[in-house]
Amino acid sequence: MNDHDDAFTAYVAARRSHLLRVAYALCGDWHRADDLVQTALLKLYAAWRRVERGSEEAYVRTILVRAHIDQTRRSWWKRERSGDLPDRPVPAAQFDERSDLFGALQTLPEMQRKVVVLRHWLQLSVAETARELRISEGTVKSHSSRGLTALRTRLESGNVSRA
Amino acid sequence: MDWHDALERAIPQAPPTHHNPAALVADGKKLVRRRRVAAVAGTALAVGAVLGIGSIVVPSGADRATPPVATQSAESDEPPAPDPSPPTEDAPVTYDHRTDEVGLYPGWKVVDRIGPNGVADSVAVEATDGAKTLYVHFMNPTEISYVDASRTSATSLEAWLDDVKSHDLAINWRPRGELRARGGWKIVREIPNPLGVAAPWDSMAAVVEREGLERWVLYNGDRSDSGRESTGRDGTYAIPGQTIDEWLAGRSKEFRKEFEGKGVGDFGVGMGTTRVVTFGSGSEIVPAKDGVEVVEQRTEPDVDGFSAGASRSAAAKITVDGAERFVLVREVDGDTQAYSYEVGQSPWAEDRVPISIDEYLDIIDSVPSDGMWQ
Repeated sequence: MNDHDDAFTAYVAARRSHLLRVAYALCGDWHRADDLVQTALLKLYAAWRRVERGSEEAYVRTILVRAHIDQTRRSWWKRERSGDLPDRPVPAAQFDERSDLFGALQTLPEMQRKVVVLRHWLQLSVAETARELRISEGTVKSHSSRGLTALRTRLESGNVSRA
Repeated sequence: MDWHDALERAIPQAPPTHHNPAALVADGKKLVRRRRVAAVAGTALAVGAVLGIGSIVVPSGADRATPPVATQSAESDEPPAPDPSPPTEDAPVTYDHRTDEVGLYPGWKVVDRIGPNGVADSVAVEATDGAKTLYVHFMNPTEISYVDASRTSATSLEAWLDDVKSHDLAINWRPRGELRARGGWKIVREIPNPLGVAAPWDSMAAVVEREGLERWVLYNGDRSDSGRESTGRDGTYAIPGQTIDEWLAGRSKEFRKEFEGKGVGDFGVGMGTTRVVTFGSGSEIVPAKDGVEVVEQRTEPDVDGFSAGASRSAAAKITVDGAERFVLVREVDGDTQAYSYEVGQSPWAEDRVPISIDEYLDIIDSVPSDGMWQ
């Protein structure tokens, strides 16, 4: 490995778990999240020399969000199945019994869910969220408002599909 | 409510997974090499993709997910395109991509033509028989859009191409959900579950239309209560002389082929923790909530290391509100840990087979645990 590869490997080792969590928040399926992260990291590797150090996170997050969008548009002949068994079993404390809030988050329309994740969990600004999702700031605000309202309503009514 | 803190608590930590950094770097290098090799061809494909406006996939094989414009590249291993059908009353304009010849039904003449352009030799033709004018876009040998010019707001063939390009098909669907269209597209007809699949699978077909341009779409996917979900889409422009029902019959056969020879274990397994069961007074698994029934169980299951170090352990086949699940339960240091597995099944109910608890244990045991149960 060269310096470039070493730096990339160190970044992956440090941030992969977080990126996997972000992907899971976006798609609600660990297997699919794993595929998304793999896709995003491969694209990051290809662009590594062009990405300013310190900007890797924003760069790969953008890839992640857009890769998810692309993936949902694929034909079923290429779709990512939530198929195989996990690599290994996971201790109970680390695996999820879906919380009501997480369950409610997954019931939101895709763009509302992404806005809530980026804006309210990852705490991106309205402008940053708009840029990552390629939508207007006004649309971010409206998705944010509707998304949070829907979450509140579903949590209050208990109308959330549970695992 | 502090949404950040609430979401931070609600979004689970990622499970540990095996990923070899060296393999990731090696795959990254391959991607870089592929991009370099494809750089020149990529430019051409980009042009073709623009001309293949609004194209959706017309698949004919298992891995044929790239748009047809891309499959016309020199690297394509698709069989050569069939000879174009002769002009008919329903499809009075044809185009042969190999000879660059426009075919016309008697009484029709070409008014305007754009192309061939791009790597797929896309050609657009305006033709009329005096009473009716058609805009036809031959994106590639398998993807052709016809529209009655009087039903569009465009005043020329070029304007129509630009209009279509700026109004890509905008519809979405998820299993057991509603089909929704936007961006000017209207759902003309919905055909629920044309593939005849059974829950948690679902399918939906529809005729959608915008300014006279008609498309047929077919969705399928599965969505289980435990969160497994995938959705795929197939589609074509309306085929002159054919009905969507005839098209669906063909697609349904292709879809069936995709699942031929698949058996238990080929449809994936979902896993998570659960609280629907617990231990009784001994090592037997008992329901911990209403709607749960224990069908069959084994004590101390022979699953790589799961029972080692546990004061009690068991596996069971259960139903939760009628849905079949498998659970592994153990007690370690007074803490009861229960894991729920959902084994995916064929889309068609008649192809589904009962899964015994022993088959289930074989599936689970075949996965390397790498000591994680310790």
